[in-house]
Amino acid sequence: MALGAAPARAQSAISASVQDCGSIVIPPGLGIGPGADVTSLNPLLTSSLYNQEAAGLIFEQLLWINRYHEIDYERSIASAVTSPDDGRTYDITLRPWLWSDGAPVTSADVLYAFQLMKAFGSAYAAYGQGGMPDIIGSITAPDAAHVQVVLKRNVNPQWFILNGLSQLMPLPQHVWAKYTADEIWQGQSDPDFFRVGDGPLLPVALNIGIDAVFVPNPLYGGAKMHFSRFVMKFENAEGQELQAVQSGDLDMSNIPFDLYAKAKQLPGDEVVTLPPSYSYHELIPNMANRTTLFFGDVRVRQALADAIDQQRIVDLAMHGLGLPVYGPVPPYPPTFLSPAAKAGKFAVGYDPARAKTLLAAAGFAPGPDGVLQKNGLPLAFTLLIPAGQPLRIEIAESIQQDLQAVGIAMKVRQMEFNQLLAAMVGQPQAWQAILIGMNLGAYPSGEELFAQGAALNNNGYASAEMDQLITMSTDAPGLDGLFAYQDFASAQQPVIFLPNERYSVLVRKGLHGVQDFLNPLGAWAPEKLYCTSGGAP
Amino acid sequence: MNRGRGGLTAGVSLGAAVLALGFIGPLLYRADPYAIHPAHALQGPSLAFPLGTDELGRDGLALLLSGGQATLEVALPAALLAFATGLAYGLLAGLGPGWLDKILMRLLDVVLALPSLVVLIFFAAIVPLNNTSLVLLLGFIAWPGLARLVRNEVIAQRGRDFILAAQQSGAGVFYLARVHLLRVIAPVLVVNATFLVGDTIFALSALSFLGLGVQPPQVSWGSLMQSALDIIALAPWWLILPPGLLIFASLLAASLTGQGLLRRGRGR
Amino acid sequence: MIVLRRLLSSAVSIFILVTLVFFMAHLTPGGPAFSILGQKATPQSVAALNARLGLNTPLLAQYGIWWWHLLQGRLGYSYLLNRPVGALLWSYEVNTLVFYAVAISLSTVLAILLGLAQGVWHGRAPAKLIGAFQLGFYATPPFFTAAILVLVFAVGLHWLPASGIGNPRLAHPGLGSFAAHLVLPVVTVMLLTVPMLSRYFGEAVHEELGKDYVRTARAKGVGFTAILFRHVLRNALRPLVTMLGLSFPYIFTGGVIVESVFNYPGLGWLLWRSALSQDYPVLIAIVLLIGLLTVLGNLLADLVNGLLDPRANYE
Repeated sequence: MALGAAPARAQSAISASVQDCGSIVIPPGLGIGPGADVTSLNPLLTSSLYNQEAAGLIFEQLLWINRYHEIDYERSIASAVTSPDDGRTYDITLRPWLWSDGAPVTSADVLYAFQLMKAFGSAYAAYGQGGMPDIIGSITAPDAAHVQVVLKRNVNPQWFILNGLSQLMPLPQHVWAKYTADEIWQGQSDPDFFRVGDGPLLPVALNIGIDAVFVPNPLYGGAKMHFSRFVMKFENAEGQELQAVQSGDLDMSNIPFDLYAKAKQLPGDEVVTLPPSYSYHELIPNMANRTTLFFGDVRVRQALADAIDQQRIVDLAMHGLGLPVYGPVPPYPPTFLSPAAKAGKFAVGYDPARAKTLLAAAGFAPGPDGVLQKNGLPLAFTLLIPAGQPLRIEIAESIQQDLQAVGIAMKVRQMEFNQLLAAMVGQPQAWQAILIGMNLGAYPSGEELFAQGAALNNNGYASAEMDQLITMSTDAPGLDGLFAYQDFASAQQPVIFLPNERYSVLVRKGLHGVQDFLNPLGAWAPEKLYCTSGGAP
Repeated sequence: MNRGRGGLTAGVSLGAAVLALGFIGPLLYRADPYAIHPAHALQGPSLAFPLGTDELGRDGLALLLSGGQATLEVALPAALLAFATGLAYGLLAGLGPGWLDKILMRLLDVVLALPSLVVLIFFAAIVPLNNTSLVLLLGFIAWPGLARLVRNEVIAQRGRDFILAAQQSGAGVFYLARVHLLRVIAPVLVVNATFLVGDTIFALSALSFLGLGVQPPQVSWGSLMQSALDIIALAPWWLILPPGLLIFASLLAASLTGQGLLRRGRGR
Repeated sequence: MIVLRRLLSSAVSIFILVTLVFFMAHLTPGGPAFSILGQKATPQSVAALNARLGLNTPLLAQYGIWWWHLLQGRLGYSYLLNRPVGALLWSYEVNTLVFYAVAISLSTVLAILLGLAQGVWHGRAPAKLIGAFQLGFYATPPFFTAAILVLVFAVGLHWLPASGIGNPRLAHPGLGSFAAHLVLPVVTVMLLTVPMLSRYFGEAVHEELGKDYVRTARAKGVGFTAILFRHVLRNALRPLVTMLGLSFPYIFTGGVIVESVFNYPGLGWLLWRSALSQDYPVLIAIVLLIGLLTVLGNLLADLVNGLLDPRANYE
């Protein structure tokens, strides 16, 4: 029946003076970024990280992936996953688990989730990630506690388990089956639709633009919660979040980088610095735009990477809270770093002299105004950045200075995010370069990013060797393919990789367990939060 | 004591000072506002940096002067545009035949109700945001209020005896407008004109709030205040006070000048 | 009746307004699909979503369908928030209404008092002080005053909450909680509105007081207060009433900046959000509302001015 006490992973010792926290109020983007609210509770339909956090509270993960990219089977609904034929068939064993209305969670719920994924087609938020759902040839349920998935081809099991299989979270078939796909779509933000869940919390109210309110699931089979009310309260900006902690409205908030030093000095509150997120910023050079065909020359891209002082970006824009990134795999945790990357040996790095040499070799010479040119055309372009984000502005301006030093003229232009996306995705002649952030999946392969014609390949990058290496990383066993792919991508710079940041969180006095609660890869663990005297009522 | 004269002089002098700061300042103080000095980020005023530095280590004084030029280059022409358009429209509606007034006022309702945000986002997407397009945008947003005020004032005054008398002695519409009406509605006009300058400077800073104002690395007084506000917990007074004081000074100058002219016109 | 004729011609204005905004919003590059799909958008998923939302039909057809639905009383469904537009508008509307009705009422009273004082004591210390106050707060951007207020009263003194609409820790926040959350936003708006409303009024009062009829009345022995309230006020109120009429829509739609700084879930914030994410059904419904209110506001202002000054015909 019930699972029993706390998961096995080591955690800070909980002293005897643990109290009920009462209510916990946090902003939705804690540890991710500021300024968005919860607009949907359906894990299948929303790609927003903020909404995913909320959905993850209601529905237990099939596979709980911790910050080291390992599966914590104590915290997952799957008690075991095996692949008898090393990559084509996967047998999942479900642990005994209950929905909040008492019905058991069975393999039928997993099959139902898969059915829904297929029904939504490309409206399914994670469509294409880990090959899902089309990579699955057949999915069957030998009995109520087992699911067998057979793929259409052999793949690297680690890739598929981490990126693909993990998407199959059980959904309450006995409650949802009576609705059509359209009705489920329309009910995304209706808390009544989500009254039955199997995760730690259940939604009570979703007041758009105000807050999302949750209470503990009384039938949850995992650890007990140390609070009676959990509120995700929307704030427009990071600075406001910080002030809300200081005034007592919030229990935790993100800390804008600029205010990090100050936050450490605040009496009574604690600063918790999280491990770096599994993401990075990138400058995407458009190789498909007629005016910037020079980006197609790998020497130009390498020169861009060599010209940029990433450490200065980390120091200035992130106040030291970040790491330079030179390849497609974020540096922390080092689980998936190639030996070369682990040793810090990359094909590019801050070296303006080498940048100049590369550009000269590519045929560029300084023009009368100091800007490099070739055949009368200057090496100049406009970088689009999403509007209203101070961090991105600072990164862009730092890059502008660096590029100017080697003779590249870059202008910066802010643009509303949807317009930016519309240009990036559908109008190759409408943009020259874009600065954006990229989140990686648990297994950082590049099949969606850099393969020719890939869904998220928006800048026209194409290389047969890259495609080969990507396929090796997803289909061949072991990590050699992944290592080769990342070394090649680091040399090729299909996008110019830029630093990733470490977020810090301001926590009010008396609230603990934050490091364990927040998981840079995604799902929150609310059972880890607890309070000692000094907590809010 | 003749306060009118004193106010006018003060206003004009202050206005001249602000304009000098904005347009001549950058020529005199040649530091590059965009150059980053990471080692000196967020420092208070010193000999090297008279107004301190911002979070990227850029010279505060250089930013202020450059921002002043950008702000004035956009706000002043926009205010002028709004004033001229609003005045013409309001006079036309007020003095013209009844049917014209009706049409113009209904049209004005539409323009007034148009949320400036929608218009801004639309135009920002279509037209690259340079100084000219910003002037047009801001002018477009600011004129309707004045038009309505002018029209109402004209309607109120045109029934007055002296107007009727002038009309009976054969005065034409333009003569009426120029000689009599303008004099009578001058108080409203002058007060409003001075505030138009403030409105446009404001609108420019509100645009920065949304990332639609002047584009980085270019700054305006409003955008300087906006970025200083993000880090207000650090109390960077050298980043907040200068642009704030200058916005205040511009408005004070406009207001004093306006009031001064008003009193001189009334002979007080 | 005159009002009926005016309403009819206003209907034309509203029609033009809604049409303009409809086409402007739909023709702005981007589209709601990107707000919903975010960075994982692909040409394929965007096309599928547009089909689902009915955005792949010709624009004129969509336009016609919108009016057809409106005549049936259906305002549509928010693309981004997955809620019926009518219900959304209503819940945000109530918040804004309370907020701005309080703010503007208090502002009007204060503006009238200050303007009268300015006019009566023109040239002397009190008037100068009021003038300085007007100029000072007029010259300060609202996001700045809001930030200072929060810093002092919420963060520094812990007297008032920094943002939001009610204490989220309580399952049923009471009236006291709502009131406490209203204080700072209302004060911010008042600091903006009072200078705006009283600036014309102060000058106008001073003007009126210098006029012959006032001198005559005083010479005849009529009390100063009587003159002030019975005559001067009536004449000087005209520009104030016009300004109020112009601000009437704000009572219902709020101001984007103040609402976003205080995270106050009002209609202004919803307008901003739906404009940026191109959530057309919500955006156009709000614009329709603004149009109706603007027309109503101007109508009311003209009627009141007509009552105050029967000489002029504001029609």
